[in-house]
Amino acid sequence: MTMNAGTETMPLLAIGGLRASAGGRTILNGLDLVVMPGEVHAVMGPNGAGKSTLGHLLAGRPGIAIEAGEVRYDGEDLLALAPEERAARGLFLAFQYPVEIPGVNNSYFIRGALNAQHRARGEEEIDAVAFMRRLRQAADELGMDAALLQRNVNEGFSGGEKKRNEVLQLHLLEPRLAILDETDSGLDIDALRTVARGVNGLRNGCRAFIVITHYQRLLDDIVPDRVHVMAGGRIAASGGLELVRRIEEEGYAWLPAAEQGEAVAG
Amino acid sequence: MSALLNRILALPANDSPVPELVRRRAQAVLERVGLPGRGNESWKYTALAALEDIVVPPRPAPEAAEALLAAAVATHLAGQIPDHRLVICHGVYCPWLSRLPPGVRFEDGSGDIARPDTVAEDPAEAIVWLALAGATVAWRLNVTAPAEIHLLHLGDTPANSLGRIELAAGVACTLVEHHLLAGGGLANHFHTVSLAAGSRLEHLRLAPARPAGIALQRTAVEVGAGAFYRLHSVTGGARPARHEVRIALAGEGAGCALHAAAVPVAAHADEDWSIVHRAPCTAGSQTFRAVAGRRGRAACSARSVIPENITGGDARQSLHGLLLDAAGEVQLRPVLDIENDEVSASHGAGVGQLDTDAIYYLQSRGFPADEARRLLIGALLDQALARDLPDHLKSLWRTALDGSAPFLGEGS
Repeated sequence: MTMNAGTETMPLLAIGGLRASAGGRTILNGLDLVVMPGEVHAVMGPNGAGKSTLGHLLAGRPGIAIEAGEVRYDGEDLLALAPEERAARGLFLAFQYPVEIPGVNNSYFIRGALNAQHRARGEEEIDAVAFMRRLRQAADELGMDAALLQRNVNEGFSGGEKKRNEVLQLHLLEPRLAILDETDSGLDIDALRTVARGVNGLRNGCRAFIVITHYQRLLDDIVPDRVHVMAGGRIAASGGLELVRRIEEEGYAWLPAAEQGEAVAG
Repeated sequence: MSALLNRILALPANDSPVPELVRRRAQAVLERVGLPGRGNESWKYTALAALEDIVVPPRPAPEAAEALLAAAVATHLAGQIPDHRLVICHGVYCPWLSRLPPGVRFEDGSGDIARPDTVAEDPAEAIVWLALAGATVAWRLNVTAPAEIHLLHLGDTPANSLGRIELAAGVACTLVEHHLLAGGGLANHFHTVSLAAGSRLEHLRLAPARPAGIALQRTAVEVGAGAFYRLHSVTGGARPARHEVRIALAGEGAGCALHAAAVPVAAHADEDWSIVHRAPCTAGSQTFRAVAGRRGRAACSARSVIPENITGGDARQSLHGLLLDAAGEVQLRPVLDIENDEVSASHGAGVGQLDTDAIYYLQSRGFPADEARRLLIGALLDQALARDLPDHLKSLWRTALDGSAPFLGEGS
């Protein structure tokens, strides 16, 4: 746990009774989750449990229908906000499959994103020289090839390079709530440690993380405050690192049978 | 002969520099081969019926040319009047507003028209000649020293012209065509370009939207040994707009690159390109990007021809379109007509819609939806912009594009 975590009493994120569907299937089915400022929550679970849908629902992806429940972010109705409004309020999703954008220069994109958020918050836009200095420094810390900054966004990047690029954006956009959707997939062990080090460097008493992962290895480096196991579209179990160890040893067979299946039929 | 052709033939020739002899030749060609219609692939998407509305009103006096030039400079040239320019207002050459650098000689081009070989057995060319009725300027530029020349078409339509530019061996030149005409009439331009050995022409053609007008242009280029021609075109479309480009890579090592961005909104923009490799080791590329919406229609027919006896040729085509709504239309027709095995060739073509995943990704980073759409559309069109173009020319290109694409940033 970080030094200041838990000193604030209002949740940064409070999800209550959330039920959502996509393509006619119920994916989330009565999900509850509370994240306090500064906390790191790990979300694990079998394929199809609804982990990625949760991340995209919070980020505002079109096509996910809310059927019941609410999501409060810093006391505000998150579901009433457009994706860019959520981003400007400090919500960031590191995509499991980052999107390639041909023709858009990567550094231009990141600076544009930063300035769009600044404008939305009524802040001054960042100076180009200062931005490039920060960008290069962050890329260097993440062991990212500087040439990738001048390429088109994610175009032709390897899987690992795309994930580093997500974490690079995380560094520069400095969100209040970062959701990492299987950021460890596609990374070799050295890259994983570099990325974890980058994430840990951003931990403070205010910034919270939801780390969606299948594997213990990421959580060896990004040590969570709480671990949740999602199954059947809801949180089936919550606890500490002992849950991670149990999943490593036993898989998900110990979950109640009703919650081991993939998404709940809608 | 069709009523349409009769309508064209009835146009008054008055003080046109196109001699009656040439008009008769053009008429004879059309009588033999007929007007191109929807059955002709090259003309399938150009609505010739619009020509039935052609009228040739009395030509306005060019005394307002100064004011029109000042307005054009303010709106389209970032307030910078080009040092070297050829100004044509209401279809009339304005020598008092024009200025050319040393090494560039302006001549009356009427002599070019009367050549016995004028008017090929090509209906497209014949139409251009016939529709040139009412043209009042035939110019010719001989370029023997490096130069950047801006050709400004200002004022009302009709405004037709015949132009020829000749580059001496080894000379590098930039020609920027600004089509800033108003009105619903016909603008018809026939330009021929001759590039001597080792010369290079950067040719910008900036034609903002004129939805009520008719815009025809034919640009025929002969590229000598080791010479290079590069076109950078932006068109907003008209009713219809058609730009034919005919390239002959005539000397060994000659090259060309055609780049065009078309953004018709409730208008039509048709590019019809042909590159013929007539010498060994010649290279030609064709890049077309179009964004169409609100009943806008863009079409590009790009043809590369490498005959059997030509070795070492290189032909590349990349044509892509983006539809902003169900009422937009983009038609692409890439043709590689290659009869020799010792060549390199590639082509790609596709039409699609805005990538909703990309819009969401950008939004998730803070870009408002309109800004995200604008960024993605701009990224596609930017693929038609050569990276190594000088910054001031890139700026002109972008200004023309922005002025032609009011839909950029609006919700779809």
